[in-house]
Amino acid sequence: MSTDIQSSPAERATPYSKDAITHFIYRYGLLVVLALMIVVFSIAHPFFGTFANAMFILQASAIVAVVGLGCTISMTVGGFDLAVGATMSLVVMVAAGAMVIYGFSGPVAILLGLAAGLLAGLLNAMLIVYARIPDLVATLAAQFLVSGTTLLAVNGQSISEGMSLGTTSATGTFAPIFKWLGSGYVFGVHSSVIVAGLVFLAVFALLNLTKWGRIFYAIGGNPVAAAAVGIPVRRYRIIAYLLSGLLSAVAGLLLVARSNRGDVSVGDAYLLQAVSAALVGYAVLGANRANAFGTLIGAVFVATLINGLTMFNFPYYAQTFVQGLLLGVALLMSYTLGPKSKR
Amino acid sequence: MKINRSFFATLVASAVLLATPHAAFAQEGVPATISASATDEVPAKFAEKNVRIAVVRQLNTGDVYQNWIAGIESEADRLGIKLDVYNADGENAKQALFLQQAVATKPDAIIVGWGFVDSLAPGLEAAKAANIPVITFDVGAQPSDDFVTIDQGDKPMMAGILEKLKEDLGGGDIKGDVIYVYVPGYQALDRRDTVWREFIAENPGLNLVAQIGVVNSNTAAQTADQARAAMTANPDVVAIVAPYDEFAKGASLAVGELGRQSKTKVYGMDISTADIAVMVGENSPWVVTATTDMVNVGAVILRTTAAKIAGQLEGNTLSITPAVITQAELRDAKVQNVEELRKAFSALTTPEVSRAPWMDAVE
Repeated sequence: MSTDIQSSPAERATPYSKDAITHFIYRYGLLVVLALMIVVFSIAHPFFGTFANAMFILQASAIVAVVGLGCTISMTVGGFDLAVGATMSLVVMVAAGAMVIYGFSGPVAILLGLAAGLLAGLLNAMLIVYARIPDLVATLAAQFLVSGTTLLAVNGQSISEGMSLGTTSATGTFAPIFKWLGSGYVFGVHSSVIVAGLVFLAVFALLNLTKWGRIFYAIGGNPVAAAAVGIPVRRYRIIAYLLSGLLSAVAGLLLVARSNRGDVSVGDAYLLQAVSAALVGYAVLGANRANAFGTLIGAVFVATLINGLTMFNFPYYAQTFVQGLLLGVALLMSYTLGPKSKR
Repeated sequence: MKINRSFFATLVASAVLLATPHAAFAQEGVPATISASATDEVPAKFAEKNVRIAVVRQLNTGDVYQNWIAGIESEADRLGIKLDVYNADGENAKQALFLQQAVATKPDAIIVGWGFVDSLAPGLEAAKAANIPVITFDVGAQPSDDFVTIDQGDKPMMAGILEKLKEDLGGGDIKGDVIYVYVPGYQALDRRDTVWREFIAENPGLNLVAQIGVVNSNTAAQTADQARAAMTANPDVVAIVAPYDEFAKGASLAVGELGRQSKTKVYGMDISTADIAVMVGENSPWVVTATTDMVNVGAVILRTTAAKIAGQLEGNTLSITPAVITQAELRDAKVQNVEELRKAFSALTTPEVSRAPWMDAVE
């Protein structure tokens, strides 16, 4: 699957740096570092290399990967979705509230959650495409609107089973489907990992195997040229933001299933993690642009790093620094070692 | 930002404890003590330095949490115990995953700091299945043979400041208008509230003219707004009972703005370096507080866990005794920050709690 990513015609035509070593680092550096990291951690700690721990790492990366893939889609059209974290928080509260407060079934809660995500994506799209506000600013506004709406709707309170509703207590409970999403396994693989895997396959196929994917990248590369050849740029940008909202919703559903409660603003922290994963992904296989495989590796890379560092009792306040270092190195590889003609 | 954060943590962490699924098969809590069988002979596992404890905490950023883990780490160091610390950055989903991860590494015991049983249930079940004892701090798990629960002494804290209130009003059949600050749904506040309700029932001369309260990211300022309105409507208020430092700061602010310091006193809770400044400030209405020291709390948790591993812990629940500190005491001791407070008030440190004789003999 990996060969598809770098074999677009534009890529092949690009003259690589003369230095073969630079070229190798540019393409495979991050994967080599990831492999080395896994080997070193496995030797140093007996638990690291176990199947159980591999599953923990994948579980830890699943949510970031899903929302990161949403970010990736918005990035392919040259956009940037700052609202993904707020959308996750909204979906968490919608799903938890639907079940706990209103007593809806699991499938209804899932549908309502997905609808809320699409609605947030639509808000983004309207602000960007019709109000013609630049992506960063529009999604920043959408972020505040979405999280503000969520906070207003729940009075700033968390949602949990048996919560006080003024004079009575909530009687609804988390549906079995959410219990399964939170702690279910299929052949030893955690349910959230399966969902993330399916989302990855879908986004990978969309971006690499379909006309839509080629159009997304064409718009991201040069929207004026894309419009000139008759591509309905606005329509595809709307689709991209809707998909980003939808994937944020899927991530939000995985998150609420894992915590079994609706915590206020719980998704906000995922914005930067998702964006980091997508940006680290630029450096994977020398793609030098947002891509599905790279984002997946970016998410797994960070989760592996955190898992290993935690195992060696690396202080939490130093972990942020190490993540920053990783992102910095990845960006250096993409932008500094990469082929000059790409910019 | 010192011990006051701990209360907010408790607030956040305990919003739903009463309604957890585990409450259904609740067992009676029995106060935890060191069993009589403990001697000064170091248990073999500890003598061999072969003990590993996992700490899975929901909250880690901030002085309070740094103090808490520092207390655990220094005591673990002294007893030759290896620690694995998992920091969830305030995310319940992350903490839930970390707990399962910790169980999979099969430590001798797991300490869980803050968090919700809703999220932690799968990990707690797994720990139980793997026969790993779990010691929880402010989680709200039901105490049992498998789960030892530890919390700050919310009830004694409340009783302590109310005793001071009674004393200030002359003792005996006290009377006067009072304002009470309370938000239901937070377990620590609810625990304090039970003490308050008993107190107000026992003292019918007290006239509760207003109950106010709000908890959000701007608690102090909004409490001040509410307190000011309530005091304006009720000019004879003699006391505001505000059992959380953000409440107490807000109430103190309102009393000061209305210039009522000579008439209205504030009975608060928790303490931080910022709170100390408010309490000892000129003409401050905040006359008393009650608190625990998180470094001490961490040390007690670690000793309790070690005793559990050694099979020398009887009972399953522990409330750490707080200290009641008055404004006058703070001023006399010329205390300016929490570090000085710790030195000046020995009641904040409880080295005898959960201490088996052998814990002084480990080399």
